[in-house]
Amino acid sequence: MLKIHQNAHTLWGFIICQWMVIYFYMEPVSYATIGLTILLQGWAVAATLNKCPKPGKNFLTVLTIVCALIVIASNISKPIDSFFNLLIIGAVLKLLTPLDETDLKSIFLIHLFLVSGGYVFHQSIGMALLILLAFILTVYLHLSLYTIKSSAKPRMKIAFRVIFYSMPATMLLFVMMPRLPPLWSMFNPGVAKVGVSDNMSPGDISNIVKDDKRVFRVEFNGAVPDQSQLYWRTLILEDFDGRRWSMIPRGSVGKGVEHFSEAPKDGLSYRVIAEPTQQSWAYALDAPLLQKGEGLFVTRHRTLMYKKTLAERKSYEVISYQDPNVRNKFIQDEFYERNLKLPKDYSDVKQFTLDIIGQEKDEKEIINKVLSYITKEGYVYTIQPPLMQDSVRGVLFTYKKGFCAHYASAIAVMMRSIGIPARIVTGYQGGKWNPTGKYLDVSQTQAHAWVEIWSEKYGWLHIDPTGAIAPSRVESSLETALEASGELNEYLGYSPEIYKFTQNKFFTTVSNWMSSVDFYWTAWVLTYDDKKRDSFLDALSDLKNWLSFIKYFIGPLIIFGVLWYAYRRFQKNKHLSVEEKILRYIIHLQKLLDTPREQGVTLAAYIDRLQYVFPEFSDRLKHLERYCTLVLYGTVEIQEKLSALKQVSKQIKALEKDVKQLDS
Amino acid sequence: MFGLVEKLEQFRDQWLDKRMPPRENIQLKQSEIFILPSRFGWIYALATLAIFILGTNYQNNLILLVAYLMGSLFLSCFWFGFYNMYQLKIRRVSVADSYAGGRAAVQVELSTQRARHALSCSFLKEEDTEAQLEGLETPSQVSLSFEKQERGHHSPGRLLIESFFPLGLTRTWTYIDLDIHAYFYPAPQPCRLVHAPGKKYGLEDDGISSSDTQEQELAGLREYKQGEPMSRVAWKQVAKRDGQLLSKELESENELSEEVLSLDRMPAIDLEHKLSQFSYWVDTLQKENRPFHFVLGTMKERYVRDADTARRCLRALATYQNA
Repeated sequence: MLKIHQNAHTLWGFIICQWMVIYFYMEPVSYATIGLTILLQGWAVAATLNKCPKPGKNFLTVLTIVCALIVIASNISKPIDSFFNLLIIGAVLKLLTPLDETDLKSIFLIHLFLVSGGYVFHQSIGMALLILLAFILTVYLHLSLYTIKSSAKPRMKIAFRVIFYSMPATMLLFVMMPRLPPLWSMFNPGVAKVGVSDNMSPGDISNIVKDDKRVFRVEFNGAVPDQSQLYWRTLILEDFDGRRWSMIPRGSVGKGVEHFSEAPKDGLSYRVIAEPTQQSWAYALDAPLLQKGEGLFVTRHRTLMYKKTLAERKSYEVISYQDPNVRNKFIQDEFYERNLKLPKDYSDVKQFTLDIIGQEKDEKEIINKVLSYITKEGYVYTIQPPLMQDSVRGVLFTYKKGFCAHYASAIAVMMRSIGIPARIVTGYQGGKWNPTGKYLDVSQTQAHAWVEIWSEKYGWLHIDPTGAIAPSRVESSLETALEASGELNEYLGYSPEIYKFTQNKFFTTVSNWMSSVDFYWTAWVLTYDDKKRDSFLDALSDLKNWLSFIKYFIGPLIIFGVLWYAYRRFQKNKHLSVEEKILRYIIHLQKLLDTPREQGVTLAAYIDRLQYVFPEFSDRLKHLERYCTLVLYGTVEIQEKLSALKQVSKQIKALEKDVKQLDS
Repeated sequence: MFGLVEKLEQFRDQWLDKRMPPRENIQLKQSEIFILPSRFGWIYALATLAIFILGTNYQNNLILLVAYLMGSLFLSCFWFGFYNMYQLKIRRVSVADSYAGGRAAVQVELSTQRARHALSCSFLKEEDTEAQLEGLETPSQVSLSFEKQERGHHSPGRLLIESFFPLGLTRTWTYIDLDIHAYFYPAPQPCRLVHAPGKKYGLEDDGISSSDTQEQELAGLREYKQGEPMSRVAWKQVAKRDGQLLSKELESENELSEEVLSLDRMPAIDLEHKLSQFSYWVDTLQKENRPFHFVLGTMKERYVRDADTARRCLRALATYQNA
């Protein structure tokens, strides 16, 4: 078989590749693995520099077993992690083999597997490109087995060419291949849990909002509703223990009955692209009707839920019917005993509530009365409420301060105390509109809690006390609300001036643009599925799309191609020596005068003969001969030759003109 | 089973002969290049499948994308492997003769207009010779050789040129027939010539007589060379010199002492041995620069002194068939 360039160059390449892999696998890689990697790679480098021998075959076997035991022992509780660690150590140990063809082949395969596995943990554009880079490096290193040069550049060129040539087929496969369902379930990579949790004590949400991680994004088909309409319902918390509100067990939530036939066509249609949360709830505006979304279902509470937990980015399409009259028709969502339960005596709260509402019986009026009371009484919206033993009484009577969850909790208890069924809804309110990508960006900052109460007449009614106390939170954003209450500084952890500065046009444009790129990456690459393929194929069959495709894609490609060709030609000519350039001119001359130059006839003799054949051009030809001789044989500086060359081209052009004149 | 394999090989050879007849100069065409996945290629395909399953199970489009990229890479390898061979020029430069049981050296030139990678040349049916070319940019010559045990005019068969470029996933190869033939002379076997004075060894009709050493004047003595007629030995000197044999050097030796080499003069009984001995004599006399007459069957050469004629004689010995 082929001789191997077992040079340090390739070894360094492998080492870089392995550290890239370790970086991709930061989550499962243990310290033992990193330590062993450093040791073994150090040994391999020393062996290549002839500082020490490589281990023999038997010793290598022993070493492999020892390393495997260390790695397994250091990841004993996590079998999947130890699998990745073993694979990495296996690749590192391979560096200590004689690195013959078989060894290099197995290193190639292990590296390919490790590199592509990196996508389990990382899916952002930047990391995706970095992993692709590691892939190219792996291919490049394997090329060393089958190519001439031991120098890097031509081999790199081949690697890029091989991968470049593979791109069209890859794209075609990616776009056209149907997606199979998972063959068996896999472990979940360690992605941190994100978002609201299945229980809430009033302080929780104020902690969540300090995190500006993205939770989901929404694309609307049609007009975007007003900010104050965007209540993304996520969880319904029905059990209250005096401190915490919690969800009833997942299993008993139950499926909502969907009567599609009764649903009108003119709902609000949108697509949600959710970030992985490791949780099972999804987000939707009230009364969602699921259009597209595998593994999702509508619950009895008119929320969306996954059958499993959400481990990767996922997209689904929903139509929501905000009109309560319509939504009650197709989802049965009634009240239960538990919506009235209170853990202890709240008679003081009951009295307080009755004082506010008086004799009012209509639930809508009750809501109005309560909300106008808290607005009037100067309740304060704050992200840093004082510590309260009993948050309901604390908020209502003692401090009159609280965050959205405090007020929601207090209102719900008030309603239950007077016999109106009430429940807490947690989720997100509002979102940041990205004008570049034309989508709504919802992050943890938008986390929110509000209340729903039951009315025989209207069904479940929505109350958001925050909207009454700090209208800017609901109409605009948390930052605006906090700026109004003077708490922005504490919330951000840095000066509001910096915040204002980052809100200027330039920064928002750049950040919008960047997150748009990420959005399209998610929408078109990460969540591409059979449905998108179908709609893509539909779009392909439309002639109009083809025309715009030609206009925007093929056209520029052709222009680019022509420019590239011209550039290449220019480059080619640039490298010609003056002699070669002269010859080009002479060949042109031969064609022009239709007089071939026989083999062995010197240039001077040829031009002499031309003068004889074409006496009418003899002046020009004489000049030509002089310049040609100067270029070819003159012992002068190159600059002078170049200017003579210009003269040659000038003379030939003039000659061309003369010939044309003579012909006509 | 064995018979089947042989039959298949025979079938393949016939097919190849029809498709790619022997030529001295070949520029590889599309129809002359074969490509199939190599063994490593199959393993790679399995790895691709594993990554595809990984991607499917995670419902991870990026892993699927890598799996598709790996698959497409495999396809590109066919393309690159093909172009690595396509239009490669191969020329037979020289084939040296050899002796039976020895190796005949073959020089083949590979030339190209663009860079080629990782080519290896060997004979399809002769497994013990192989030449590796890490790459090819300027015309370069490859030395190969093949061995035959029997004398004759032999061919090593088709030349196998193969490459695993670019990633070792594919094997690109061609079997070309450069019409390589080498003469394998009979293996030389030292012996003494049968010497029968007066006998003309088949040269009578040409009027050349075998030199009669007895009639020559003694000019001097020199060391005995193996194979000289016993009559040349200066027997009187043997006793004086502790048994070292000396030959009598005779006057006008150069003109008159040419040996006539013919099958009759070889002492062996069977033809093959006779030919081996014959080969030895042609060789020896040629090396010593002593002209000789050569008689074999209908072929007669007088005063063989130059290497070309001697080669012709040896080739005649190589291909001689007893009528």
